[in-house]
Amino acid sequence: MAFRNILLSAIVVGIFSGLLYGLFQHFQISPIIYAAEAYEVADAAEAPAPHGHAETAGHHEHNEEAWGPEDGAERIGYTIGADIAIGIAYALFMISLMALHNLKANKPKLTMATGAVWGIASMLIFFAAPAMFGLHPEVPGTEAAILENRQGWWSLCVALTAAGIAVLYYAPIKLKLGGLLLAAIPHIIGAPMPEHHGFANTDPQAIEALSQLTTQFYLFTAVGMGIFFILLGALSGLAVQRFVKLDA
Amino acid sequence: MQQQAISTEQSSPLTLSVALQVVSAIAVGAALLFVVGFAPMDVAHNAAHDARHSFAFPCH
Repeated sequence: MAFRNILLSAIVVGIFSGLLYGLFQHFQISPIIYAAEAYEVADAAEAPAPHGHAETAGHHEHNEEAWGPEDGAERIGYTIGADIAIGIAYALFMISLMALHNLKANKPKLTMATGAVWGIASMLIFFAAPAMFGLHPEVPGTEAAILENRQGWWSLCVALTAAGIAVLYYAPIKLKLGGLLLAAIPHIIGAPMPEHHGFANTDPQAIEALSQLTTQFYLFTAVGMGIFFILLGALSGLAVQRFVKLDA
Repeated sequence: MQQQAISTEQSSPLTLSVALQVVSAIAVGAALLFVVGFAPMDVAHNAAHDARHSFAFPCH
């Protein structure tokens, strides 16, 4: 059963890579998020004054009535759980497409090593293209365009970059240029940007601190995503080579 | 296990049903990614908040 094999392999690969990223995040990324939240101001509608909201430090809920995990172990637990879930989702994409490759493509079958290369390609698709060339990784409290527009652009960018890389790899030489064009489309359209860049908190000291935190955050997410996707790709390649039987 | 049911009902060539299973697996991945990374409900957002930021998903 291809579906069951893919699902089980993706769960195992997702747990390994998501857990590793969760630990990396716990030590390197979450401290930056917590530090940025100390400068987060309450929503303008609830509290029009931009200053004097230090008491909201550590609170990340936008709506005070909505449930959210308690800071500490509960929040860390949910974060690592979410990392694993995202790992499983990405592993499902990766292993499914690798299985499709082995089934249909006239190219060498996947191994752990070529899987790692697929991981680098995924890093380009899911991180470099949408985040480094578009919607930069942001700490909480950064001004940004309407969420739905950014999510829409993110999805478009991921889909077109993936399609572009697939065309570059699989299409005949004459059509390969089309892959670059596909991947360029979201950047020609342009990521949705806020009217003015900056942070919700307008205190100069807060802006200085948040700018530094943003730089650190960008660096550590890029490093972490690199590790995550290469591991995810290599493990997915191994899983497809060993466990996903399509002719059974 | 709906996918299994679909595949056993088909009498068409095996490769088609395998392809269909592969597409189903991608669909499950997309649904999972949406719930954890993009769903707008406060509960989903708050639970996965730090992970959403760390994967550089659009957030807030």
